[in-house]
Amino acid sequence: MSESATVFEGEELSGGSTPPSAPGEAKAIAGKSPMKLAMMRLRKDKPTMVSLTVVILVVVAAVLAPLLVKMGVLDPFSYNQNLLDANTIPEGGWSGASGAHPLGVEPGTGRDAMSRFWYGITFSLMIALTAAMLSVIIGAVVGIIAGFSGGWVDAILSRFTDLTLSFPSTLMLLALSSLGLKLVQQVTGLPNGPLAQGIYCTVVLAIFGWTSTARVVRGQVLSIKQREFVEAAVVLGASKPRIYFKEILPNLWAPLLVLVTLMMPAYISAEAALSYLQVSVKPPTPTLGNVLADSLKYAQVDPFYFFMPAILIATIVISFNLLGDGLRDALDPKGDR
Amino acid sequence: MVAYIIRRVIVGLLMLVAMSFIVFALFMKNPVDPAQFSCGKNCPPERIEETRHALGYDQPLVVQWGNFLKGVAVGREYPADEKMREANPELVSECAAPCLGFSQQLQMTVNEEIAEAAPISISIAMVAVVIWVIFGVLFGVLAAVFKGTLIDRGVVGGTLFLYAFPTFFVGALLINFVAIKWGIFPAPGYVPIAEGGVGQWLLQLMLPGFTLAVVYMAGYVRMTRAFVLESMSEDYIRTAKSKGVKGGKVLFKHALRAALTPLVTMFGLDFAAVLGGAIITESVFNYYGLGKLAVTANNNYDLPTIVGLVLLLGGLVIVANIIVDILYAIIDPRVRVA
Repeated sequence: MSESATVFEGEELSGGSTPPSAPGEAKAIAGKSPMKLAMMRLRKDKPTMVSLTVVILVVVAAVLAPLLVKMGVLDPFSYNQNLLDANTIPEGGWSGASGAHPLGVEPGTGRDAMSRFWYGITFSLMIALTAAMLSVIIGAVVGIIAGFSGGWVDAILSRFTDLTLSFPSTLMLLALSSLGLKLVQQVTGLPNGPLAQGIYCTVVLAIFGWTSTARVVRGQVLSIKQREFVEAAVVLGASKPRIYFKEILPNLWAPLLVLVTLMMPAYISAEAALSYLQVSVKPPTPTLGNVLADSLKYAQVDPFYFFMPAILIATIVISFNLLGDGLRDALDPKGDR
Repeated sequence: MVAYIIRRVIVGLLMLVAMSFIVFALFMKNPVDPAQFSCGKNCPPERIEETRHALGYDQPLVVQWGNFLKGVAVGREYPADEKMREANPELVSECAAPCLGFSQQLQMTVNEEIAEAAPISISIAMVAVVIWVIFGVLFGVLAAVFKGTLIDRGVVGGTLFLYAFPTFFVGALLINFVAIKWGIFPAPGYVPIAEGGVGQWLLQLMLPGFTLAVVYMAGYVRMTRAFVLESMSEDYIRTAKSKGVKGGKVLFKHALRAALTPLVTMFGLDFAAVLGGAIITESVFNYYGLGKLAVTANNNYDLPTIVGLVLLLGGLVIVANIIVDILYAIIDPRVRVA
């Protein structure tokens, strides 16, 4: 209770170091843009700021990884059999951690564990981000058209959304993999490799993931289309695409941002699940999912290697989830937690 | 009301038909030729053509789909080709309605496969549902009552933390440490009630049930918390409080009751989804339920089984949707008008 009360006070008083005793002061009454208000609420929200920091760190790490691999600082591919014992388990505790291999090496191959985790972040984030963007684009287009058109267009699109939701998505992702991979190879002309597998994984996640966006956007558009500026655009004879994307879409950035942020952790987890089912990117290219799936068989003999990728995934997923929740609260003008 | 139900059922049926066509079109375009696959590796081309004809894969897609729908409605016989059936009566398999297909590889109907695997999936689903609903709602109410305190944060944060770990990791963790290393639970393996009694059956379902429950628990905690908080701020709660109703009674008889309606909706859909088999959980624990059946069928390119399973699972969700909508219309009269 007290928390929300202070946030509320903060908004009203514009950071208020001075008490509102002087009504003449222009500064105290100065209007704030919704963006500024959101930023203020965000800054006061400690868990969200912490998770934002983690997310930024993760993204920076993901961007840096390919450079570091190219420079040879990270080496996720070389085998170091000399570091493994006769049962191909790393010698020494903590997966055989040492100065050269801070998180030890991978059992079975002796590849540097830290490099594989780090580089894995890059591929997992790439898949998750692309899939999230695709889902939001499909969902926003369907949602805007359904919400704005109404009538039979809305009925058909809404039923189509329901139908997509009714498909058992995990089973479809699994069962479509051989067909999907072949299609990707035909369309893009790529050989069957990590890139084709990654594209399959991304596209198929988006195909079954756009429905939540479509529903949220449709709901928002239903209220936005009643507003005067949309009516004005219609009366002025603006084209449909203009109304959809120039008039309505800019009003949706806040919910869309929240949706993307909340889709990221879902897709990172989904990629891991697909890796477990062997229909995502396959090793030697590391993703967080296939590194974790690979670590399962060493749970007993090399627990450190078993727990590390899981903890890494959990940290990233929690951070994105908290950030998404925090953003939603901050961007919602009625927001009261 | 009756008109609403009829309309809802018709829309549901249309969606099922549309889904079956999409699934059929998708999977029959699969790069793996089912005729070649069931004929074997060293199969001469003319044998492949024969097999294709016998299994009915040479028919146009729409005809195959029509036969399938007919099978669902009134049952049918396999192999698909009538002459083949007349020539080799010993090969004919009867598939009663609602027939979901025939697996050439396993030489049994998809219905029989499902009947074999379903009890395991249903068992896991039931245990998981009990765990996640009890703890989800309990923790959700707890978090709402102690909103903003350490208890609230602990509960919400704790479930979010559990939820962040991939399901297969949670499963592997439980198998490797809780069951094998520490021996708290017996090594996983499904025991039917008929063999080991209810106690043994339940014991063997605890770990997979918990693994599956973790996936849903976080959502139920958050939803319950939000719904209870929302209904606590309604006017009728203030009225109840101000006329002197006790705190506990306000919470359970007034606030939670109102919060239950949206929870029931969520529950209906989730239960239908887990009933159709938990692919990851069943794979990790190696329980031959519908999910594991799907994985095996996929690895063996057993298309009829996959098509049958997808339609069964999709059908379950669509039916659950219809039931939830109708229940909603009964509870909330406003829905009917639309």
